[in-house]
Amino acid sequence: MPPMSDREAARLYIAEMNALLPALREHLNTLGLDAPPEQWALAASEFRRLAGATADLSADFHAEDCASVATALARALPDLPEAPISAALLASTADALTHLTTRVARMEAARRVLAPNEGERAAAGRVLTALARADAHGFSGPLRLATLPTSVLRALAGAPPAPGASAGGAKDAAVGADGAPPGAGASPVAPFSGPEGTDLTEGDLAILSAFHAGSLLDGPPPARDAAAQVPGAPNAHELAELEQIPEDVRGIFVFEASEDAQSIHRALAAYEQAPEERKHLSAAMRSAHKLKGAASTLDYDSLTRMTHAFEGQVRLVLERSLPAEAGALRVWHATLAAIEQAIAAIGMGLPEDVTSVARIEAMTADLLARAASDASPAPIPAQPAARVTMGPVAATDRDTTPTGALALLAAGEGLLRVDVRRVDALLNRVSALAINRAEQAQARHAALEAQADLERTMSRLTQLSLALADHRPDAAPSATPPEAEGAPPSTSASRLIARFLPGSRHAEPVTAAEPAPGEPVWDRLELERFTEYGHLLRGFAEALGDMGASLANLRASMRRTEHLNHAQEALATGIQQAVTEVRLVPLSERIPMLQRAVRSLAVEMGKQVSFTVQGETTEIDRDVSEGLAGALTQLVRNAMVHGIEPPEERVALGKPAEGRIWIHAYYTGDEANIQVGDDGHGINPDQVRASALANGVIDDATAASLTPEEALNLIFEQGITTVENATAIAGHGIGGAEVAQALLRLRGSIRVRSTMGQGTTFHIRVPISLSVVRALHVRVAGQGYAIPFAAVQQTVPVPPIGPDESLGPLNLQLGDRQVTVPLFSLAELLGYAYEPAAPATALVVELGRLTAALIVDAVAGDAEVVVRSLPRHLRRRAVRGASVSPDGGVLLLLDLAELVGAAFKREQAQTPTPARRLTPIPAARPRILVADDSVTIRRTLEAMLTREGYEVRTAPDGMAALQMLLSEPPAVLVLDIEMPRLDGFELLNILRAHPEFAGVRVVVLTTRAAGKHREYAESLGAHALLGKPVPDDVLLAVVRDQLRQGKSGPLA
Amino acid sequence: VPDSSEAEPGTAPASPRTLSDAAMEELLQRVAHGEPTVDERAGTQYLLFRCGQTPCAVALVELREVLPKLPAVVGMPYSPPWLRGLFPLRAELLGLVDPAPLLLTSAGQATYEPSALSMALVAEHEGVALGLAVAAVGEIARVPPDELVPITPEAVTAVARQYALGIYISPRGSTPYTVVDMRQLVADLLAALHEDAADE
Repeated sequence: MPPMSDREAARLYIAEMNALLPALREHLNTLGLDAPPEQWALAASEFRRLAGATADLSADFHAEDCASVATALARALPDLPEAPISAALLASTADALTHLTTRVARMEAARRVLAPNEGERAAAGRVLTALARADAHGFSGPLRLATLPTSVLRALAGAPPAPGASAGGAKDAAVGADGAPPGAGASPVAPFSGPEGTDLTEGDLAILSAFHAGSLLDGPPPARDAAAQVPGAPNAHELAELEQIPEDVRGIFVFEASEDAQSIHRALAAYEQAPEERKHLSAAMRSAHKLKGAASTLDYDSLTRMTHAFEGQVRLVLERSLPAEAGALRVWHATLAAIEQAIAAIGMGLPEDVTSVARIEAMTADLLARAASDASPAPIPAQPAARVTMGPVAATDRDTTPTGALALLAAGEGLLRVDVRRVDALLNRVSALAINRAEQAQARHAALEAQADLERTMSRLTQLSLALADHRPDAAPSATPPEAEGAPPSTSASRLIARFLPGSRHAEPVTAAEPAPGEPVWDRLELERFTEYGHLLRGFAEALGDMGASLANLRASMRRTEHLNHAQEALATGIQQAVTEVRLVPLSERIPMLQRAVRSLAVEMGKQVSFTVQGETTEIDRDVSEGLAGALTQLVRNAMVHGIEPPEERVALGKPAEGRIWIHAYYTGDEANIQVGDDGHGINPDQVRASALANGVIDDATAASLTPEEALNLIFEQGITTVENATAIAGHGIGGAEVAQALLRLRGSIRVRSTMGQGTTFHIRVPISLSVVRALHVRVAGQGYAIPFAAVQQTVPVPPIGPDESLGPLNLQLGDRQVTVPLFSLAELLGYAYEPAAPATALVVELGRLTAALIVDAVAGDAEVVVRSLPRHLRRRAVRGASVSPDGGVLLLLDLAELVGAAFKREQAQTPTPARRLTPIPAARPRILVADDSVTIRRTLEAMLTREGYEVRTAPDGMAALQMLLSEPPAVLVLDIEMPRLDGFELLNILRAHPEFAGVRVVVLTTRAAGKHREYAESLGAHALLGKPVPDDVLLAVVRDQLRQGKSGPLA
Repeated sequence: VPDSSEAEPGTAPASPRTLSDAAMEELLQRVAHGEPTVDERAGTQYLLFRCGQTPCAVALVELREVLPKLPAVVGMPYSPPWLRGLFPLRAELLGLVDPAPLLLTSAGQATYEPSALSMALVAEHEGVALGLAVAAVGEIARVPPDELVPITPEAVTAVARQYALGIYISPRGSTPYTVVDMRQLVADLLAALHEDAADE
């Protein structure tokens, strides 16, 4: 095939399959049991042709499982319906087509050719079984699974051979694996007369179960030896029974049975630690009994028998009141392993493995016979068994009382099985509460402000009411004579001004506005005089009283609302935390798997090991726990294989014959720390250094400069090994580089320390949760981002970088070392232009072995953020997810490992980075101050000007405006004239008199826009005067004009 | 017969929003509640809007929501410029796109100003929602099926032909509104975003 990208290939494959599958379905529809022979012949031949094409296509695109099913389809239908065609065959054919359609639909959604998942693998097995069975019961045509084409047999070649099984089956499989084409016309193998009289041969069944067990792409290892099926291989009858159990019931059973098996494990481990505590054995018996009951209800015969055997083994020790000897322990563990295998096989929809039953029952009978004939201990097995002990829970800085599933189990309470997608959906909705809370807070703030405005207005009205009462036309003249009309501002205002501008040369009354002699004198405010004064005044006072009462009510309601809001917020925070914790699982879930690895390797390699675990209650996110599984297994296997020495070697070295492997888990802050250690012979840093040098990971100079610890940590680089010939055992699974990669994906890290002759300790750090992350908020290219706190070592100020300077490396003190690290601009890494901002900050980040400094515009603190994954179409490189901040804004959580890794690669490849586009920092938005005593006008202007991109401040009176002019000088002041405390004219007077306000452009906005007011305002230095109401566009045009004039020069 | 309240969107350049607060409130309510949108006798209800300077219409039933203000977005790195960014809408995080590069032909894009975006429509395809930024939103017009003029092959349109379902000409004015196939548009926009998405 011509080279094409995976995506192109997938598109092509899916398109072809989408054309073939409906055509196949169409032909199948014309094939009925009563189809006329000519029609049958035509349709069947076409169906075979298309199915063959589907098989070839699938094989070409490496969808081997689809190829197998299509191949079976191509051979399913006979040329003519003369043989008895069963309805089951047609139904199975239709099912097989549906299966293929479902597979392709999932690939289409994923836009790539996917390996089958566990369910699909099981379904493919079922479909093939059904086709074979229908064929066996229907026509005796050419379908034989043993005659599958090379592609299938190639896939099967990974399955274990079947020594001792039917020679035919094994031979056929071997022939296929060698590439010899069995061909469509190959003669079927001799029919097998099984107990149920089916036509399936042992070979067919062996291949079928091998196929089931994992010969498809990425399948799990075979659950058992195909050869082991000889005495009672599952027949079609058993398979049919298996299929009768509904999928969901089976799922629930597997979940419960696995839980029971785990309980047995825990009980046995506890018993081994304290053999005198017989309650542990009783607990194991209880769990086994429960499991047996469930298995027998669903007719899982083998599992029932094995559990029964286990009960018998344990009862033997319980009844004899003697501690179990090593031989018995070994049988228990072997039985438990077989039980777990059987549960796993049921989970995968595979037939039960009856051979294990025979083995287990034979072992049990042997144990019972020995006990009956001789009460003396059984001989010690040749291989020393590994001793596996569970240690106490370590004290940590968090509450280590078992919580979650573990606590429930301890308390004997039940567990609820919930689809993790439901939990995630819940988490998403709960985090949406944060947005609502932010909106509520804003609305509350606005309401409180409105209330405060109302109260101020109320107080002004009250003062006004008092003043009006004093100035009744019929009242006696007051002691203080009123100021003359046209007089300069009151002395009280001047005193206020003096407070703000101490030492001012204009602390005295401003006199500039005094009218010249002979000029006409006029009343600036032109207050009207009222008649029927008393009547109106009373009405006014009453209205004021009513308003006061309403205000008091409003205050009370606001207080209640405030109180409720606080309670609500606390509740929402609690829910958010609780939902996040739902995803946490204890580390103990991973332990049985590790114990098994240690146990089996100890037996296999003849090593004596104690395996202890501390802090198994440490809880981590389910995804983190699953992501850790491979890494932990690899580290424990490495410790077993390469760390711990054989007993005789240890004794010769003066160490105890029994080696130690331990896991120690604890929290620090928001991270879980897991140490995996051994007391074996350690790793030689010089050997690692040499291997790294030989593999071109480092150059000579670097090799010379590395400290032993740095050299040791090179084992996490690709292609480094310290073992000349990696053994088959440790060669399984993943290597050092993959362990490090797996941890990076979990936003974690790994370090290693080792002392030759004393042992090795790996130190893993992972976040407790992937959905709640402590993150640093930074600003880059005008936007906020969140950066996982754990990656950031420190922040350092960066000296100003000139527009023509390039970002060189940065020298800094990291702990007790002086290091030089490359400096990158985070903006550039994100694909934006780098705009040098002074002062800038650099984050020193450590990602695996890479340390780098990243320039950001600003660091805005840190906080815990709830990370939500993005919908598929919005996922972008270097973005791990998004978080909604309390103010309703969105923060992107960056994947630094990806960004910095790519930057390092670019540097290493010495690809010239694109020229830095140095654009000037955009000018700050012009600030406008609106001074007006009307709330409505302030709000309207604020909204309108903000919309236009201005930064807007507001002041309700002249004094407040003066304060703001001093603290945050605006470019333009939009000024009302009639205002309390200090009116507009007075304020203009002050501005004109003080040169520090010379840059402020003043636009007077008043109802008094008549000629004399205009002239007076201009005389006081106003730059423009507009009459209320003013259209938005007119005001905007004037503001823009003033801003322009303000830039071009000072006031005229 | 079109609604008598119909007003052409975006006639005053200084203020792209031509609806009163009350009218906008009513519009939002109608979209949110999925009020009768198809009535055989009275015709389909279309929301009139402007993409750049191009007058368009979309069947109300194809919209999930109308956002009266362009939501504040956070920009996504490694994205095409027409993906304006990400914004939260209740429990969801949505992408906000400028549909013009896909929706408009070069004739339509000639008069296009990205800065003029002021509101957003929310529509979805197979359960995935997307915000579409537009210049202005006008009234709802009720158009009987026979008043929708089919697009002739030789007609020069500002809206790309694959998204143009027909033309509606308001009886009160001569403005031709192109009825947009919103489902297809959103499907194509999502597919284009998928193309740029990072593989897991």
